[in-house]
Amino acid sequence: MRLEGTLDAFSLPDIFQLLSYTKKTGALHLRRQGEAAEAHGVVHLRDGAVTSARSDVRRQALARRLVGAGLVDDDALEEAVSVVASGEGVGLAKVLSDLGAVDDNELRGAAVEHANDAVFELLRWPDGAFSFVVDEADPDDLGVTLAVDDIVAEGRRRLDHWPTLTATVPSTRAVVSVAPAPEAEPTLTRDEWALLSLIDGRRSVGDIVELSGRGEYAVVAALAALVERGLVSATEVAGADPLARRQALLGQLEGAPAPTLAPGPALAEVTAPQQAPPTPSQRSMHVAVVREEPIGDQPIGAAVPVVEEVAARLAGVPARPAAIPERPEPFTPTRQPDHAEEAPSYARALSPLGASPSAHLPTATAAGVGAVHGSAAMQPVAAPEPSSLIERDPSVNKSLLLRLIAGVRGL
Amino acid sequence: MSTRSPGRRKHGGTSVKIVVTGPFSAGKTTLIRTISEITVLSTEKEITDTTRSRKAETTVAMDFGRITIDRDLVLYLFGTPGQDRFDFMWEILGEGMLGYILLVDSSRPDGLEEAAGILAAFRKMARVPFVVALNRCAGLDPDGESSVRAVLELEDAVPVVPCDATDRESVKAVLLALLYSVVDQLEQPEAASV
Repeated sequence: MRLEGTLDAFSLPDIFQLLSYTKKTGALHLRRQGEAAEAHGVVHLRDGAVTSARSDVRRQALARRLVGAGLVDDDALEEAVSVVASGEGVGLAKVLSDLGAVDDNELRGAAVEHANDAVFELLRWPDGAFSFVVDEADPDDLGVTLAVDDIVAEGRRRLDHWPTLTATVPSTRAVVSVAPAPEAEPTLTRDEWALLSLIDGRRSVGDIVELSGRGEYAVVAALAALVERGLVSATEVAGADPLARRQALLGQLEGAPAPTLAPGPALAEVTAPQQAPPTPSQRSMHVAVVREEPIGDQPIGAAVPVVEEVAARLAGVPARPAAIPERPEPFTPTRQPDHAEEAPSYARALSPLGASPSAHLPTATAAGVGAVHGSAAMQPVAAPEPSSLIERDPSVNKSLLLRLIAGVRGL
Repeated sequence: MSTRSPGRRKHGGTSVKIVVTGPFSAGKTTLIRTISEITVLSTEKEITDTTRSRKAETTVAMDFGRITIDRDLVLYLFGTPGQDRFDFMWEILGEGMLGYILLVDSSRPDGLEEAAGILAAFRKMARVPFVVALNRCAGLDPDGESSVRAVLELEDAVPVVPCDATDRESVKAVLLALLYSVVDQLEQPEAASV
């Protein structure tokens, strides 16, 4: 038996609550028809808690995040890729963890951020279909468990904040440029520096999201902060890079042909002009080349001077051949039978009630439908074992109950 | 078994769960469908055993409905499967519940005895308030109520509510009876130790 439906009937938070309350283990698949192809996301759960999430199963997004953060070296990545390519049903991040190639804390932190990013992106789907496959294994189970309430709350917080961010960074198509002369002496965090290193006046927000391996929300939020401080600009207008635009104007006086002011070629053309456009996996390898060098040993959060380094960045980055072959198919672990749960002892031991006195039920009185007889709470007659009891949560207070009562009355 | 808090969210949202239980074909799915603001997610399948004479499909895992109280407070309704072989779900569904509704089809003479068995299991499993709702019951006279209480071995304080699972106002009355029961339990903490 599968649990399936459409997102217009059941919102993602509702489905999460259902799976959480029933402590399900398995994979929640979400699909919708995108502009070019079907989008397919998946959220893995164990005992009702989220263990990992991907908004696009075709991409090795968690591994990209690790690569983008400079946490994986070439040797470890190549070994992990060969293991995954052998088709053992294990995810790249899990293999990297098993190999000890990435610090466990860093890996878990990345996995948590990645799950939050993925759920945020899935929450933004306007439509789609879902299906839950009981006991489907999580190929990237790193031992992380996230409470459904927390991950949904974080997604909602981001959704609330999203309009503010998109007022500054209008879309993923916006081209990002470094301000040629910021008003104040710029200082950056390590994460901001990592983003700045990818800005070349041609790449779009979407390119930078892909290259950095970070989620769309994190990248857009960071870029919006940089825009607010006057360090970068993000616009969908052609010829957005102010430095290139002004140099082009000067070039007209020097007899040079007027350069185009349109946004530059796509990332693929920049990194490998002599070849066919690279696959997403190839792009991720390029990220490692870009990101290894400038981050150095700077501690997280440290402010670093940027002007000279940015100038060096604008000079261009050498291309490197791809090392990660494109995965032909997403992971499709073997399906497990539904309803693998064992019946609890109380259920198995429940005896029939033939000894109970029978009674004929009333069918009509003056009380009428909806009347309430009795008003107080009661306690069970039997004396159950205290350790096995479900109790009313002590945090349920009268205020909450009065809100519930008012709400039900107003239905 | 550990207790589970209602869904507390970091940013002020709360979700609360009420379980609707009762014998096979008591009307649990109907009750939830009547009051839920979303299309109730029912995990039903065709019946192949002897109970088929009563209805063609039955709930095999749970029914799932939602009532949004306000932006940060949501009430979820979970209906238990009605057949014994799925009773392993009861404990799973019961965890974290605010209380439960025991729904009984008053038109079936054997419905109350089946309900007594389910109630015994829930009493062993949970110490939370509950109400008994008598479906397809136009009203309830004192004699009828007494016989219900006798079969179910109810204390006087337990609300017994006549109900029409297809009628929204009637279902609201059942929910309110349960919520008032929880309030009463809060205000009478000494009763909880009985």
